[in-house]
Amino acid sequence: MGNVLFNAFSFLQKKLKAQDIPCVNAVLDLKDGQRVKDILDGLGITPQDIEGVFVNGKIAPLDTPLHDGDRIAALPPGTPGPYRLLLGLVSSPDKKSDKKKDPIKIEIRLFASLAPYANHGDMDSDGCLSFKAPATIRDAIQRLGVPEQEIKLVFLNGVGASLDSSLKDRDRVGIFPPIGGG
Amino acid sequence: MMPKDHSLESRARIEKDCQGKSCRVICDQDLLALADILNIPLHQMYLQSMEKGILPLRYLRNMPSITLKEQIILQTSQVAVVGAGGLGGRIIEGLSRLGVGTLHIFDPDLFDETNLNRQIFADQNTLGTPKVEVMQECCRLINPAVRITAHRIAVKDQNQDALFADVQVIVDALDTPGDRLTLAAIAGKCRLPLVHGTVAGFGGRVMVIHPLDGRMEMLYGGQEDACSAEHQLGTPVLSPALIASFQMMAVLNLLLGKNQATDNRMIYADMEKPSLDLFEL
Amino acid sequence: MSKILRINTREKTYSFETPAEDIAGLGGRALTSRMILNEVPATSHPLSKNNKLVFAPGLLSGSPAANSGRLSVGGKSPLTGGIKESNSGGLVSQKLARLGIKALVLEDKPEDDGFSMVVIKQDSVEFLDADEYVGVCNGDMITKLWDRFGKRVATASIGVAGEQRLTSASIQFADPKGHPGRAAGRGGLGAVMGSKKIKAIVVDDKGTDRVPLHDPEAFKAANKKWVELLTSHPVSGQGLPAYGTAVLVNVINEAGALPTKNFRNGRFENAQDISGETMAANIEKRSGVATEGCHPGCVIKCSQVYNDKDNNYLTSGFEYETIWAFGAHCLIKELDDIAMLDRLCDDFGLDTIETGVTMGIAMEGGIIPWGDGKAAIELLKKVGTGDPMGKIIGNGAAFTGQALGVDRVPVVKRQALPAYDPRAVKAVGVTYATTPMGADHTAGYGVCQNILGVGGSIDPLKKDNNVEISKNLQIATAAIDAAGLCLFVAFPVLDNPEGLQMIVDMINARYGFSLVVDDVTTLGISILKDELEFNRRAGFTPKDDRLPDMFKEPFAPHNTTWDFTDEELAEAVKF
Repeated sequence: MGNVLFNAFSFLQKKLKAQDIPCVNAVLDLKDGQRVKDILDGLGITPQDIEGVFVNGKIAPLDTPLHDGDRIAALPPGTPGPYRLLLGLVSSPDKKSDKKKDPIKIEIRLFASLAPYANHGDMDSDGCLSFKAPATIRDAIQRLGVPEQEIKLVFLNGVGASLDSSLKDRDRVGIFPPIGGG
Repeated sequence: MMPKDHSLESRARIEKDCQGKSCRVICDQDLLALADILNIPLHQMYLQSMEKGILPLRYLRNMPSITLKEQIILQTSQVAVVGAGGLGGRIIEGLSRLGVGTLHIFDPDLFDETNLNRQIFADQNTLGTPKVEVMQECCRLINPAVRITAHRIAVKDQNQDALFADVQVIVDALDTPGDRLTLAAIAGKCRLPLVHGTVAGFGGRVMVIHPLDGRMEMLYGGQEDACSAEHQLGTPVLSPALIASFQMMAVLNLLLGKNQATDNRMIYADMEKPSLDLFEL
Repeated sequence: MSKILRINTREKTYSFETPAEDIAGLGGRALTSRMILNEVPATSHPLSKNNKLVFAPGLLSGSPAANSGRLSVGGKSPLTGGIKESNSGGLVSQKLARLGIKALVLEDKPEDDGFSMVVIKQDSVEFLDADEYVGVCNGDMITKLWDRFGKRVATASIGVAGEQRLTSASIQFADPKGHPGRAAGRGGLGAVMGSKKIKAIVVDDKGTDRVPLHDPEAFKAANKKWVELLTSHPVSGQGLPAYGTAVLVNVINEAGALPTKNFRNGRFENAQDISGETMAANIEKRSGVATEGCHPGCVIKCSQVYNDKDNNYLTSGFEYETIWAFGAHCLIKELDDIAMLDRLCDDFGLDTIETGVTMGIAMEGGIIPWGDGKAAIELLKKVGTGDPMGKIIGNGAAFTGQALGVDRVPVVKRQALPAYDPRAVKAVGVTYATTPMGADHTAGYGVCQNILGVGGSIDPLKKDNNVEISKNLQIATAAIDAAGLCLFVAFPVLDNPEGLQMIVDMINARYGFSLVVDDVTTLGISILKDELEFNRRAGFTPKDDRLPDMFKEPFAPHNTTWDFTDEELAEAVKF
């Protein structure tokens, strides 16, 4: 049990106000186990009405579970700003129209003292990792649990790169720790 | 019977090399004797002999991977090897056998017990003795035509560049990031190529660093020793032996002006996997 | 063939020039940046005779293409000391295009103190005395100019801020209704115009024919699809017309990215009071206009007319940035006070972002209390009187911060940060740091997903990918600025893979070019390279691509910090 703080913006605010539904810093009851979708259903808001929902300041999927004291806000389509992309609105997790989710497979080699990280369950027998695009080398090493501070050199297809480099299907990544023995 | 003719030609004999081709060779004993009689330093005797087309027998098994012409170039070359530990010792021994005529070797340390796992010339008799002195003596016995200057000092200061004045190639066989960066700065000052090598576990890398190309900084700039791979994996004998060999190949490429000398990619070898890869830095 | 009109402000002479080959295919920002790079020595003093002010319509300006009437104004910025392009709506762009003027360039500067104005018509270019207009605010200026030269002539003018050559000075443009609400705001180009003693420029295209189109049929077909695209998209077709950019107040506040009390935290308690929803409700109640365009041919119409509680005109073009700068940043929660501040900026000719941030610095420095809208209004009025305090405020946030001994000054290259905290929307932060324009949000705007292959889930609170995004956004934005298109076309184009092709088709149909979509990227990159080169020559180094240290503090509610290294940021400007 508990409360959540609810806001609706733009057209949605107008629509809800017209129906006398509280939508400006409104405190709503929260039942155990309720998710975002449940709250919206209770207010008569359908998924088509919204482009995205904020939970505690970040865009989140509709099936996100809620806790006492959470803050949610519903946004209809039509928000300007590159912030749509940057805040994660454009590829709303509930939209099925996302074409860029073709998986990519990359070969990743971890050298010297980093070799044990290649034993991660996600690595296949060829030393490859599968991803949903887009992904960066950083995504790969995070997936394998390699701490960034243990990495000194990063190579992509045999050429020096950085953790921010984007990956495409069949790329080969090489990761080295510092090495200094003599 | 003592030959009355004190000439190289008179002492040479015909020998067949690995390919079955004939070539003229001369043995060490004759070269030493002639040098003595003619009062010429031994290394010059070697040079004269090779220039006349007579190969010192010791180099027979280098042919034809290393030709007579190339052997002459090596005899007149000068290389500095900084660090006489796991990598350095083997490189010094190897360059001596190859016949690189002048070597400057640098290392302040004495052999200790922990060197026994991998360092050539470390044995029960040499524990406690300065490494460069041991090497100078041993390599004199291996190839007296190679003149070795032993510097029992650490190279830690860019102002030591004068020590490398006549050298053509510097070999990095160090084990400390800071020292490697200093050596790179010295090589930059002297405008000399630097053959970098390093090991950890069952692998290691080699890369030729050109003057002021900034690549040593990419390898060791801002590095904290703590998570360096050799501390986590150790350095058994295989990797220094392998990497030292790659470093020697790089030295040969540079001295002999081979095409491969223009390839400055990083070689990484992992003997355990096994794999050998090239990376562009 | 369009010509360059060069105006010598010292001799009061003019000449028409055929454009050189390397600029013949450029327009808008591409043209202004190239010309400034080529013609202004990068080390010049921005107020000296060596600086130039270039007004350039975009490649599509003057054509029937929807939303193509934007104008680029370029020069060396007195505020940043680097290159600047300021972009505005209004009437000048289309009229210059119809007159066959590719760029209007103000050069040199007079030796005496007399002000002039330049009147450009189909058959004449005249210099007229303008001393009688000195001290006249931009709103009244437009009224007088329309009375004198005809209704709906295009006007560009400076107010007292530009006359005093203050570094926050803007150039204001008449909108189709005659209000002074459109501005080439950022970077102090109004001061450059003031240094050349030009009070106003009037452009009258009476008697001209329509802009010639190489292939009218193809143009019509592409424009038809274009209009359909713009009007059917929820952002450009519904959101912006209804609420304008002010709808972002609540959204950015919710995201915890609304910089409050001089960038201390990301949520403003009274965000709802200054939100776009409240603005729209007030407009409706007070018989204002909720939906209006800033130039003819605009189908998005994101602007508005905001009236005071007596239903009298108060201000137009009431943007999110302005509302934030005078609102959450200063803790002012009275929307009407903020509207008055916006109006004063329009009249005095001041950049609202710079001035709003400065107002917060004035509060930080103890000159006026936090959240006191009325005090802010009184302080801003001092710019109009020549009062020394007004000169301080009118010179922007960095200058004011220094005068008052303030240690929290949110600027990059001495230009004040806009309304998104870099710690909560990291890609925008990268843009602030690396764009040649100084802290600028429009430089890295819009079109990225479908065109440049950046898409998927981006986390604004983490560093990943944000450098790449900023870089791609900067490229795409530069290209849109070159076409004379309103930046907000980016939203529909973002969501439709054919959008960019429509723009390319229209450009090709206008000029007979054979451009392809990849040329957009190439153009964008070449613009950025020109700008970076100018800045390099002016003495900028990568050290200038940094945010002030105050952004290393954790920023609530997400408690993120600005943690990019110089090397990471440098990737955004590597081409």
